[in-house]
Amino acid sequence: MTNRQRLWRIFGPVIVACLLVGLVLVIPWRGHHSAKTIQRAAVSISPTVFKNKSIKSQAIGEKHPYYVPFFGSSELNRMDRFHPAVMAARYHHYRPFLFGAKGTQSLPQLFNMNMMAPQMENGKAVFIISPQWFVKQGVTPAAFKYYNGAYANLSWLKQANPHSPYDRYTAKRLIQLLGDNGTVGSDAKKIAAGKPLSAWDRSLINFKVTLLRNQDNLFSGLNVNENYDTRIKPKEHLLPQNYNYADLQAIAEKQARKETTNNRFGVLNKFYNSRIKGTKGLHNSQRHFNYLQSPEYADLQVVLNQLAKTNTNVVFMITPINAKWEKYTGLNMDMYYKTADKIKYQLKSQGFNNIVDYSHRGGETGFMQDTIHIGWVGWVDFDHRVAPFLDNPQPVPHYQMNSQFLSKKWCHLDPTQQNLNNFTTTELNR
Amino acid sequence: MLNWIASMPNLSAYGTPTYFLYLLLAILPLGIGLYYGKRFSWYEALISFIFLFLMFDGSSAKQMVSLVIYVVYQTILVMGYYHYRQKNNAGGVFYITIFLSLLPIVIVKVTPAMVGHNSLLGFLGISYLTFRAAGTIIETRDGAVKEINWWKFVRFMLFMPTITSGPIDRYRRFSKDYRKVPSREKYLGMVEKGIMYLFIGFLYKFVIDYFFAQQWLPAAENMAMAHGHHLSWWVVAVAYLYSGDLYFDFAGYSLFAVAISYFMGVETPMNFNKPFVSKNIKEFWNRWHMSLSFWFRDYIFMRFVFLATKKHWFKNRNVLSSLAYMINMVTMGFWHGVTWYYILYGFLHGFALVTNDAWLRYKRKHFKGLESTALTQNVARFITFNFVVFSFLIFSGFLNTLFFGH
Amino acid sequence: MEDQIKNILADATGRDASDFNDTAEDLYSNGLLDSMATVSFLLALQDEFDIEVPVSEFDRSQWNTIDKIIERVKELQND
Repeated sequence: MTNRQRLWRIFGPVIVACLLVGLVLVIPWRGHHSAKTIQRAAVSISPTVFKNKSIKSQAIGEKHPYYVPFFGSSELNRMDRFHPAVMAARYHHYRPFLFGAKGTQSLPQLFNMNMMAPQMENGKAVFIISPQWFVKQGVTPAAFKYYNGAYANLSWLKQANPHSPYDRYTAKRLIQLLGDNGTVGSDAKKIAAGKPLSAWDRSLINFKVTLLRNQDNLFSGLNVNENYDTRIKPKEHLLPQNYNYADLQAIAEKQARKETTNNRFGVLNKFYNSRIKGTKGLHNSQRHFNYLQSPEYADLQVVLNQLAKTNTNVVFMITPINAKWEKYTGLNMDMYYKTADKIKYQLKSQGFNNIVDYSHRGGETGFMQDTIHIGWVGWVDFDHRVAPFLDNPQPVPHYQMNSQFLSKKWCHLDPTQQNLNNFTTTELNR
Repeated sequence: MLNWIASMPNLSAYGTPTYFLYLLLAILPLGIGLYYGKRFSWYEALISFIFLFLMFDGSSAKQMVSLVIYVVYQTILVMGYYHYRQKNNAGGVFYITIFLSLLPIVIVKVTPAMVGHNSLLGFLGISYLTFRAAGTIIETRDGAVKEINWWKFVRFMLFMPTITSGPIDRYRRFSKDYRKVPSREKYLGMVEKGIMYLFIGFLYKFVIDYFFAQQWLPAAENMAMAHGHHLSWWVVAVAYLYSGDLYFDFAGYSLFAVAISYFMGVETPMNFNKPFVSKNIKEFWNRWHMSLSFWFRDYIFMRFVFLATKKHWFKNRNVLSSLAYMINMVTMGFWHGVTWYYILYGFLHGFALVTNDAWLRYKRKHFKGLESTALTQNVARFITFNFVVFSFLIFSGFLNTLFFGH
Repeated sequence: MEDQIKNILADATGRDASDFNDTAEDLYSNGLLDSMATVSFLLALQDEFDIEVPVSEFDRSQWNTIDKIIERVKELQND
């Protein structure tokens, strides 16, 4: 054997393998998922579903079954029998598609929504806002990276408009959270500076998106977790056959009492044992928490703009906090209520009028499953408020977006009534 | 300076497909050189330096400082002892040199147990560098290392493909490879093997181990933890899944290191040879983490037995061999770290080796007629495998988390 | 020399000299020699043939058959 033949024999298979892998990634695979996969993915609350596209866009795009996106964060993981997914399966026509886990605040949700924008067009959605998102630094880079991959970033950059203040703002946030290196960083820098992407930038994005899309189409459906079979399906038959709000509330309260016996906070026994019991320094630990000044307000604004762009009819919920817990940890409730007011002001002044404000209801028995997450009675009430909105036709929304809500001034504003009035006259009506 | 280093991107060894892409591109000129019979030493030094830098920059920048100081320190020790040894050979000087060579790792291993946090001296791979340095000093004393210079020694210590987790090479073997260029015939054979190892490594580390490490093991650990702070059948599952994870992760990594070494024209020794087919525990240690086990065998076990036999410390050979096994394995346990589970792991393996020898003697005496058949061999494999899995459960530290919750 | 070596091996391993008939057989892979026996064997070799074998010079792949052992001993005697 000559050396040349030998080289071929060594490297030939490697070259062939590389070509084959390349081919697999470049062939436009059709990413069609079975109804079963989508049903499981809808309650998987997994980062894979969140950062990719094929499963969620198929789900939201189909008419039957009718999947409604539920955007939120960690409360979506409180899957007791009154959880919206269980309630909907038992009583309603729609099926919630859950988007959210600890850390999915406004910005990750924006990139999530952007990937299924065509499918969300003129549809409905639920958006759960936690005041706890509105901390001083906003979403952490770690959480952002965990729920946001190259596919979402590049898909967003591809459609970003350098003349839109919303897109320039988002690009700046991308750089803050991810750094300015790599394709994403350098393209975001251009958008942030108001410059369009070059033809080369676009073809590079297109090439990468093609690879990522094929990976998504091929693999996203393979490893969906067991939430549906272990945490949703078995609970459906625990609910009474026929819907009766008062009955459900009574059952929920009873259930809550049964599962909160080992502590004085009214939180789930298991949660108490694993997260509170034996942990020192919790008393008065939240006295200095402040949600009034945060970049999250501007982040929320780009989400609202996205919802307006797709003309989505949204119902918002503002989450409560466990009253006994908040007293124990010394959280300033005036501050908490003012946070809810500031959020509501931002929503209402732009025409987002469907708001379920639970910020004052954290003291009701069984409303909260633990310290900051609703459960049992809370879920029953939530379902009671949201289901009619989703199951019945609603008037077409009219949103009037105002980019002043992207400003530092808004993010830092202390929302006293007077300050809000001032903001209306000097900024919004300018 | 440190701030600047800390701001650089970090590329941990063999972590991602991109790393392989960069690495293979970087060593391609070396490969072409070796094919044409040339070793581009300076280019090799340059890319080794760059990749080491990328491994220890960013958030590991403090480790880089420790690494540099450590290598300078060991080089001074080794070169100093080498020069001394050309004229004299006092036992005391040798023991002091070995003590000084082992001092950093002893500090690094003992610190967490003493003060509860990691020592500032530590860096990823310090154990493996210690083996290389200490081995060199011991062979210098034997007079086996006949020539050494600081540059070669530094290159041996910092040989990029194997720096963080071995396999552990020996100075004389390494420098022999390093002095000469393999023939084209031989080099092509090495490349061919290297590519095979690389792809088996991909299969182990990126495919099979994905299931063990990312899917199965965490699920089993969660289930075991959910059953409270006591034993359950899930702990058994953890034991087997952890063993799978440990093997595919480490064997995959070792295959990468060997493959890249081969591409660079250095025949780094293999680390694993189908460990789970072993019929007894002694065979297991000839197949599992071989470069470590052989290091302990050659530098601790053999030397201790040699000395003890020469000086007639023990009348009974079996007592001597048992003691030597225990010393050997318990030292290995301590080397992994000063925690109860590593030490217990070492102790268990020492005990298993002693038991194994006793059984072999017993069998020779009382079961002379016992034929070795497929059945007996498989029973032996079964027992050995399950013992090993049990010992890995101890080794994993999972019981520590389970029982004591931290 | 071959018989001498077989006897030393038999002593070191506690086996019969008849176990060592095949002079090309790998003594390690068939389990006749282990680290422990190796040390006794080396010490006995040093006494018997008046040679010096430092442990670090002991490379298993160079000493794993009786044929190779004979070769090594001859080399060391000529040194």
